[in-house]
Amino acid sequence: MSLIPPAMTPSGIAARLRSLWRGMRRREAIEAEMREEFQHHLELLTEDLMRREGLDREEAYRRARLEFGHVEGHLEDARASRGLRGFDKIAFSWLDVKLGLRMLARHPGLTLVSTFALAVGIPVGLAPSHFVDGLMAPLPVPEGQQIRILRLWSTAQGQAVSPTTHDYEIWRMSLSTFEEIAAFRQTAYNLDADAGGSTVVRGAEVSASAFAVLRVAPLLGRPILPADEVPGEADVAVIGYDLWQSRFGGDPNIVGRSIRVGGVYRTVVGVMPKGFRFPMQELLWTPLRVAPGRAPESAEPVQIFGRLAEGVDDARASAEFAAVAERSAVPGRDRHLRPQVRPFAYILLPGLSGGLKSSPEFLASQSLALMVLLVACINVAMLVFARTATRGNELAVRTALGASRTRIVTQVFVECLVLTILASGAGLLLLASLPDLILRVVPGTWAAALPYWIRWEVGPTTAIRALALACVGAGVAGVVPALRFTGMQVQSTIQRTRAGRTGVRFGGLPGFLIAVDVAVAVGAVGFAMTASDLVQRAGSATAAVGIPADEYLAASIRLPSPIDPASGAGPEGKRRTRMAGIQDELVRRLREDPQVRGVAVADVLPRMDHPTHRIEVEGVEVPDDHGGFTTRVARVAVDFFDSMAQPILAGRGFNAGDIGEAGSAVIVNTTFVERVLGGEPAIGRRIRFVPRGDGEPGPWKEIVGVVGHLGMRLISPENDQGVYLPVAPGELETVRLAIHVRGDPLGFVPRLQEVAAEVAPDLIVSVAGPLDDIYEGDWYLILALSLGAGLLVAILLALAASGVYAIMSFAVSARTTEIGIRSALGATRRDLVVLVARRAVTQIAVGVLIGMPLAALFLVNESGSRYAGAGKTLVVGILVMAAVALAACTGPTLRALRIDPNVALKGEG
Amino acid sequence: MTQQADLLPGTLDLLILKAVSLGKLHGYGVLLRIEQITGGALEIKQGALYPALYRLEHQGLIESEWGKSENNRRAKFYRLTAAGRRRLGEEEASWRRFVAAMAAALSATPQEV
Repeated sequence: MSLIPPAMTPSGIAARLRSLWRGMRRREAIEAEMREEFQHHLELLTEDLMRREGLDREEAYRRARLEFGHVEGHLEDARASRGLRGFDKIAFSWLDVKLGLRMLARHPGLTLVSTFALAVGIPVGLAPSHFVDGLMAPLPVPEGQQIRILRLWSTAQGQAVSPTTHDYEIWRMSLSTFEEIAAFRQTAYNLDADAGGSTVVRGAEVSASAFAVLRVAPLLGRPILPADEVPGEADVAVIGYDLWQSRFGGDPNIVGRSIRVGGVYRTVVGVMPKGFRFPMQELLWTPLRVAPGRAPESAEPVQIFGRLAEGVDDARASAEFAAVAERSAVPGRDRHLRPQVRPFAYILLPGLSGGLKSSPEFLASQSLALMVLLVACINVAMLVFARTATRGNELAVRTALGASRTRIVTQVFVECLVLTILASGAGLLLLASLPDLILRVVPGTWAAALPYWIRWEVGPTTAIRALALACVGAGVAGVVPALRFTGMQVQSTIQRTRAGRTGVRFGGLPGFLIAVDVAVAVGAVGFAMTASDLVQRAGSATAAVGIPADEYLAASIRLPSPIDPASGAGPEGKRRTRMAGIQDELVRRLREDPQVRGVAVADVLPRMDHPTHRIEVEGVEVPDDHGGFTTRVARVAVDFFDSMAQPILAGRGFNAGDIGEAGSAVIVNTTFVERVLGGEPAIGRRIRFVPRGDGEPGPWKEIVGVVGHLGMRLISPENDQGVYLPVAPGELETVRLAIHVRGDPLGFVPRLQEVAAEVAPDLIVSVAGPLDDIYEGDWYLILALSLGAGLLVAILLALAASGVYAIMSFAVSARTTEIGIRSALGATRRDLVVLVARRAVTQIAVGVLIGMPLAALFLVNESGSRYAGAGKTLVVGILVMAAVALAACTGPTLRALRIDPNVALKGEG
Repeated sequence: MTQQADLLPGTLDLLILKAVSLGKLHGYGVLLRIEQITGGALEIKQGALYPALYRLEHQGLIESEWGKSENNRRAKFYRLTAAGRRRLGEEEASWRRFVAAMAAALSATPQEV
């Protein structure tokens, strides 16, 4: 026989939770309703008794009360049957909140330090998840969360490789788990408006199905249609709202107008609505045209994306995609390709197979961030612990007067919650303003590179996380101390308090925490020293680079791809030939310009961060487990060093014979000679490139010359060993130009664009700015990083100091009587100072001992074993902590010395 | 007056479910209805009624709403929910099995064993 056992079905649980929630939320109202119900019952019973037994009203009511029983008791039982009795005990009132606020006002120092600590700790703890979530947000189009990219992951290369138009055609026909599939290719166009010269506009070639996948209709006109994809049809373009407004003045008759895009006249057929961009920041779309009859091996790379069909999940789509992709496999292509279905944001992450949140980088930064939060929480806990300790008497008396343990713990918890919620609020404000702050520091080109779908507003999820952290923080900082206090014998607490002591001793834990604090602070000082050293050395690197960077204009040129899809055979060969002609002609005409002193051509310019490669040197043992020397590499035109006015320090420069298949000459820099060759003569030595994966090394190349530093790596110039390779005109897809200008480099920009447009109207010219600005872009980053590190160090130091201060201050007040007795018995001030300071000194010494290896870890990691300043850093770290400790001890010690022995002995100190 | 029996533990909930299954009732009405359908054989303690009502409401077996009572006062009326109706069915069946088993057990004679 079951007889109404608790119904733990899902609906039963839901009903209970609803009832519980109602009971907590409308506690007063429900109690009033119960009283009303009981009253009604009593009245009916009274009337019944009057009718049945002929009693007068007064007597009937008395009998009814008697029969009904104790109203308060029934109320209590009723609350219990609603499952609310447990909540009564921990229910808190506004009074607790008010008390909490009053405590904050009464201890302004503690409030300030704790709020600051948590207001920094909470956003730091939240930041990694917050930024990743923002980055991985779905596209802001209707049902954007259904959009996926379909990509091929190469297990051999450890990154995603682009599928091709061939894959696109097969996938599109075969995949039934996707409602629609589309392809796109990002590019840039030279856009000539009627006036104002040409500008570079980021755009994309898209298949007609792209707009269907995105489910966004044009504001004006039509999207790209399948007919537009046929080679040889009229050239059309769809433009974005911002482009329409900025370049065409919002012309209402824009549809049907002809515009010149990359030297080709295209008819505008549509304008997309405001805010629409695709795939990242692009504002101009042209049809993706696939030349028919192209062999699968020479199909062009594209990105492919689609919209999941109704009710299809990722697992099903992946399974089908895997089967279909096998069919589209091209012989001779990478055999280690794994088809993957991923959220659209993965187009940003070609190097990540799994989620960003499972990447080691994310886990590392998340744990580091949580560590900062933990340190903040521990310190706040110590401060609250010390504050609660001074209230030992109050708590003990309240316990003696009948306050339950739960009640007191709740009160302390609420007091802490007020503090942590305040801090979380401040932290969220900080987090919300962080993207703006960062974007203000980094160069504008970075901000423009961010995809438009990123959402970094502080949303409900982040707010809830912050609230959860606040509750956990209040739990750690409030409940733990309160439990310790209330767990003690009330009487002994009162007696101890009466005798001039606080009710508790700290025990070993806070002492240990102080030591950890100090250790972290010493480590942080080490980190800050390394960072500042880095900045200094980067600063001195400016002097080391022998180029007047402010006189150079940095720009890049490239051709839109593909140059002519209809042309069929050998597009790459044709592009090269054309690019070679353009490059030669452009450089020749620029050099003829009276404003120009010289033009240097390379794939990467001095002061930019050059790519690294691994090499082997003939006759030199390969350092094990590195698999070769890491070196910076630049590919430069044969006259590069002449154009940059750089002398060849040994050997010769490049000449025309060095380029092409047969050429084997390389030039190295002086750092390469020192660090790789150990200072031995370089000319005639041979090197070769070693691939990162498994694979054959490249052919041997001979060192023919040595040049000085040109800035191949901004940070730590001693690591910029570099190799220069000669490159023929047309070989580089994107050619960078360093134009040495007489006068203001930026003033030359219009002339550059004019010359470029004359040479080739579709040539895409991007101006990076003066060469020293490029440098400054990185410089700002370093500066921001070191400022951030400095701030973190300051926070950690402040926290360590406040923690030490709180414990010291507590220790002294706990020993008031003892100090009084010692003083009365004739202890000198010196003895008393030693007494007070001994504990702090011990804890700090332990902390420094633990912290030193931590700091050393940073130093070794950052600079390798060659860094000589490690000892200096540690001394500074120890001195800083000693100063902090001294400051922390001064106040409590002075207080101890001021104690009058008589007062202390009377137990009122 | 009929002779009154003690209430078995747990049977109050079942009686309340049965009472409100016959029509919506306020608290005092539930008491009267149980008295009526048991022929006054079972005595319900006045104080035990409300905790039981709130417990059943908490479990989602009955629900309440405010209305006007026969003396024209505001009163809270209870009625069965769908979950309550299902539960009542199960409990009734279970109770009948129990009664049959008890009756069979108690009517057993030495000859039968």
